[in-house]
Amino acid sequence: MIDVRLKDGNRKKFSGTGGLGLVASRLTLEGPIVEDKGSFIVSGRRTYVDVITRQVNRANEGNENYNPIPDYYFYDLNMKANYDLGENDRIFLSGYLGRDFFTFGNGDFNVNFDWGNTTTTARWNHVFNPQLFMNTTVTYSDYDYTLSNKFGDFAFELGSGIEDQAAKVDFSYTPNNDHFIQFGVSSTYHKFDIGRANADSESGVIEFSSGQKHYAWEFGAYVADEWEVNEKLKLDFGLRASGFYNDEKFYYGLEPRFASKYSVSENVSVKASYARMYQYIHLVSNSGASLPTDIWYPSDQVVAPQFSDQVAAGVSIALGENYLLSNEVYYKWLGNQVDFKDNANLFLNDKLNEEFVFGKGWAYGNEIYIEKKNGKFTGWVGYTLSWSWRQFEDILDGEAFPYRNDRRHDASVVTMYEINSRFTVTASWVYSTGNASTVPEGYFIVQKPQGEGITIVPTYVPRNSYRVPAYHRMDIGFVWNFKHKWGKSDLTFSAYNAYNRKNPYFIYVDDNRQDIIDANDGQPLGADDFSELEFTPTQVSLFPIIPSVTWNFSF
Amino acid sequence: MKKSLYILLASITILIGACDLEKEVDLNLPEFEPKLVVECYLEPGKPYRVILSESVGYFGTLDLDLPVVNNATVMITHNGIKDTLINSVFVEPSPGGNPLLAKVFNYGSSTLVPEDYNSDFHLEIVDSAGRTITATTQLLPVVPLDSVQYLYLQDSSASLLTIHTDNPNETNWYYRTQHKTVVTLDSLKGGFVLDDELITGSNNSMAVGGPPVYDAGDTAIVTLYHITESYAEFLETTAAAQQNNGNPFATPSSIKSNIVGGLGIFTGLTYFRETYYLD
Repeated sequence: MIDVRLKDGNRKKFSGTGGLGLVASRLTLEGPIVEDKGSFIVSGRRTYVDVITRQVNRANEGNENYNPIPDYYFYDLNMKANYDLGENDRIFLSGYLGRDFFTFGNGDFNVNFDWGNTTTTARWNHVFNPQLFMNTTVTYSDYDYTLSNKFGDFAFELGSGIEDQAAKVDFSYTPNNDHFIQFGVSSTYHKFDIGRANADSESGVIEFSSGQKHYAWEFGAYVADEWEVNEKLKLDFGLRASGFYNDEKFYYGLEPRFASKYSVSENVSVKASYARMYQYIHLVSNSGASLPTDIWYPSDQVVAPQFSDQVAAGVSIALGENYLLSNEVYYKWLGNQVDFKDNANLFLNDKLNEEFVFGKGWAYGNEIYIEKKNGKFTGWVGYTLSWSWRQFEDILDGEAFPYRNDRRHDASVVTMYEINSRFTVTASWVYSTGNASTVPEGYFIVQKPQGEGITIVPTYVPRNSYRVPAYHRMDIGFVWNFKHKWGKSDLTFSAYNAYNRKNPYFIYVDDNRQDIIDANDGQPLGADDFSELEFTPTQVSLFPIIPSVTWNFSF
Repeated sequence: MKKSLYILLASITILIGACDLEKEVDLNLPEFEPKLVVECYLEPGKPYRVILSESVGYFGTLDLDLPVVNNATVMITHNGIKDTLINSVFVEPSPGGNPLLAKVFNYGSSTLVPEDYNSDFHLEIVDSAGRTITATTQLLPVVPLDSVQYLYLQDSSASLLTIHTDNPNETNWYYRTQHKTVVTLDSLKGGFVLDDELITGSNNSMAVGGPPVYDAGDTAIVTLYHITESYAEFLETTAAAQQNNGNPFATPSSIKSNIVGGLGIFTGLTYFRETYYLD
């Protein structure tokens, strides 16, 4: 899910780059293993906002109205080494390790949430002859998250993970100047650990666990040709066969793709493409906020693979030497989509596939992009107008509804201005229509049988029918360059979310029922209390303005 | 050095100022359409009682203490006999006398619920605006508790494990509540909905533990309701709707029950209840 690419290390001399900041620091070191035969590069980062927020929390200790700021940090480490075994053989080893930690504690209540990814890759590159190359790659990757809660002596832990072992062989063949042919095979063994949950209390009175494991095989074989028909026309054909085996069920599919590009003139080109894709692993998101707890679920006896067909057409125009304008329009058909049924029970559920519903989707839109490539002032503007729909027989009686990530408008502006060789300013701005969400709209009262207190039950708008306010944010930066005898450095002043926009993360309706109960000396709500009830829609945001200073260096 | 210290302090100040990450917002919702809400629990030997109310938009004004709906025709039919309930105020005081826990109904009749486990009960409501509700339910036989065990915790407190026998030939749902300390049902309770697919014990026994925790000298009133699938769904979906408000992990919830044309529940209410004194 995470594609990490790191350049190869410097084969001639040892060098390094780094940054020291208020929020994070990073360091990259590279150099030869044996001069002109092999090199390495190692790079690491660690954020430490947690050090600051912890001090803020400590300063507010004892203040009843203060909500502690959660602790958050992440680190990651990248490594890559390459070595020439001979004229025609080269090996590469790389590794990635990254983890995020989130901790929140308030009195008896503690939450720890951490998630991370580990990947190691070994690749052997072999040259048969100037026309034919081969890459053999073996990969291991592991993603997991753990969310643990502690309340007094009661502990509760939730987690999920995917571990992959993959091997593939890819060939590139260039028979002549007009064709570039690629083919290969791949196989992946997936281990899924879904919805792992454990609960226990120190006294041992409560103890249970649940979760399910899946072991699946995924296969692929492909052939593709990039054909330069003539100076103006380029065609790209490909066919991939894929298969997936899990839960005694074998699924397979043929994935053709086709792309063409035609240069109308020196400055104008047009393109068109079609692609079919199969997806055997499903991301089933909660409809609320996006978190690393989203569930990845493999195809099985109940859940069939998703597939999509996409057509797209576009035009690129070079406007003089400095500007590039491109526009693309697309339409996508989505089959076998997976979502949760209403009232789905996600946790402590060993039969998760019984909580799914299946349907279809379609999406379409237009993307326009203008870039200024040269000069003191550079940057680009992108704007996408799009729609994304889902339709399930078992949701909303089969009526189509907007997908959670249906974003009518999505715009971004990135600019950079070089004042002189010492100073550069940057600014970027993003805007997108708010998520389609399901919020409470009203309530009803349930009296319940004798012996139980009255409850207030919220009712919700139809699924995804409420539009959360738009997301927008500006980031600004100012770079001040220095030259030293030993190398170069710069001071970067930046602000994330510069105008401190409180972007919505989720919305809920707060009420004062606890205040009424407290005012009545802890007595449950009675019929007389309803006229005093007040409801307040409340929006929760995640990241405020985060100013920072970083000192970057290279030698 | 001085400069960077200054920047650090300035950043922290801004961060604190900006960290109030919850704010009141306006929800631009479409106009709220109130739905009829009905609650009727048929307890053998007790008279028919119904409360008919309406759901309320969050941001409308609520003049009444309870959004009750009067002047509707409410009928319960059993074994071909149709009872039309009277629109009046019926108050059933709480067993412990707590006025806050008294139950109020706006429709009732003097007919007592017959102890008939074989034939269905039908509910039909038409309000003055012509809105209609229908529902069907039945009484389920009482399932007794076989035994209660104490699970001792540290410092001599204990929680209760209740054991009952499930009929393996049918699918059953149960709702178990516990009331602590007070000798009546006035105290707050802890409840569980159980589905008999959870069975793990031998002899088809179901054991249910969990809070609350009792100390020596406490009294526990344990109630085991044998409930219909619709009532189990209603209890679970109303609980989910409450929990999902403010929970970013939640999945969308809609209220499920046997009520056609509105919200609420029409159900038999049969239970086994026992009081235990902990020493």
